[in-house]
Amino acid sequence: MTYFGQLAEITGDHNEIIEISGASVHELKEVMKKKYPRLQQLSFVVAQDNQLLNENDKITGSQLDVFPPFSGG
Amino acid sequence: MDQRYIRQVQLSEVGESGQQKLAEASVLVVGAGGLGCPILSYLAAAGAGRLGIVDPDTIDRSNLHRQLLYSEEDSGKNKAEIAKEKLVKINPTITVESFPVALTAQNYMALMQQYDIIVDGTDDIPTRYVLSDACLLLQKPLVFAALFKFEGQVSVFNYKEGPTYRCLFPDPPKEGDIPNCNEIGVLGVLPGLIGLFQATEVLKIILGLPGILSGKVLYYNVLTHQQRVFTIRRNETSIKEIMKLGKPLDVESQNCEIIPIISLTELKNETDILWIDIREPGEQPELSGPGVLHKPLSKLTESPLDLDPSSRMIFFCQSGLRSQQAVRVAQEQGMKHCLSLKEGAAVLKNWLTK
Repeated sequence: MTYFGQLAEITGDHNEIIEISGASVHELKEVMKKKYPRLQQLSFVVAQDNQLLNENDKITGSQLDVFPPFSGG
Repeated sequence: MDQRYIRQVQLSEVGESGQQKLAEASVLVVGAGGLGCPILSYLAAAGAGRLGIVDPDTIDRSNLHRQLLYSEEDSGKNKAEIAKEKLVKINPTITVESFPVALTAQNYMALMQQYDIIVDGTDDIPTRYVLSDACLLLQKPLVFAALFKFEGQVSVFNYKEGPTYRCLFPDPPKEGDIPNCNEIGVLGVLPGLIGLFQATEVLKIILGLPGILSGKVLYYNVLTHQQRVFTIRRNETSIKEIMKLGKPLDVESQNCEIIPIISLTELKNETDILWIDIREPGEQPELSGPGVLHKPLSKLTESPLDLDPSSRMIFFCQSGLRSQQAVRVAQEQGMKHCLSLKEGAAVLKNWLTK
């Protein structure tokens, strides 16, 4: 997993390995929220092979990028 | 041909016909802050024929390190008005219009309909959703960017039936979850760089150049210089919902929780208040004394507040944004009388010492 923006701060790292199999994006998010309770309040999306996924998409690849919206301007 | 444009007209990809397209173009830049300043400067210099600037804010001294259209003596004046004055000096051959108001779900039509391209230079998430929905309804391309510390995200939404901001982020975050530059700070060059990516996309759209960031979002990190491009799909359900509604969907009403906010102007010399500083260690100005408790937001979830749930607490941070998030967490922890302070720590410090 590669984290962007606030997610890198919350997880304390830009990269980490999370082991899951056959999960949907929604299920992965639940695993992440359990591991990092602060994520429960954050909105974020997941990309696989540089393609953004929907909540119900299954995770099949090994490299995921996770990012929140930014606000600053 | 005006010598002013000769270096770009020399490019075979631009030429005199490209310059003519620029002269006929109209671009509305919403927000004349860190992103807006470089976007406006370069579009004016390139000869974009008609520029509109929307910004209700006044120039503050803390803007000057990154908003280079403004100088010391402009403090306190409206950004849209001053930006207009400066741009006309950069290029007197173009038309510039200023609108010293906030763009909202109520007035977007009047502001946007006279312009071909809309640029998002705002610094709050609810307005980004309003802009995205409004551009979808009016069928106009939206050149978007947003910042977080040393990172920027850039995209072109609603271009030739491409995806929208809502397709990228279907779930609006709750107010206070995502800090802006006033809240966490920003290195002045970041909005400069990212704003120029936006200006580049505007020029590409006007000139019909290839590689427009439609259906894609670019991530740029100025520390690592890592650059990533992710593809975004159109979310037909969300697009149909907005089209059916016929007006921008208010993200604040989507998020039903209302965080109680209080301003110092509503307070008298009350002594029973527990002031809770939820800023992270090292944030300035430091504030201590009787009745002030330090509880960084990052620790609040893991180590809940060990306080009498009936005490009167006012949470504060740098600008009144993160404190709203803290109030929500504290309420979940059973605290009954939590308020979020509208003002930031600097204003509170003055108030407490009076």
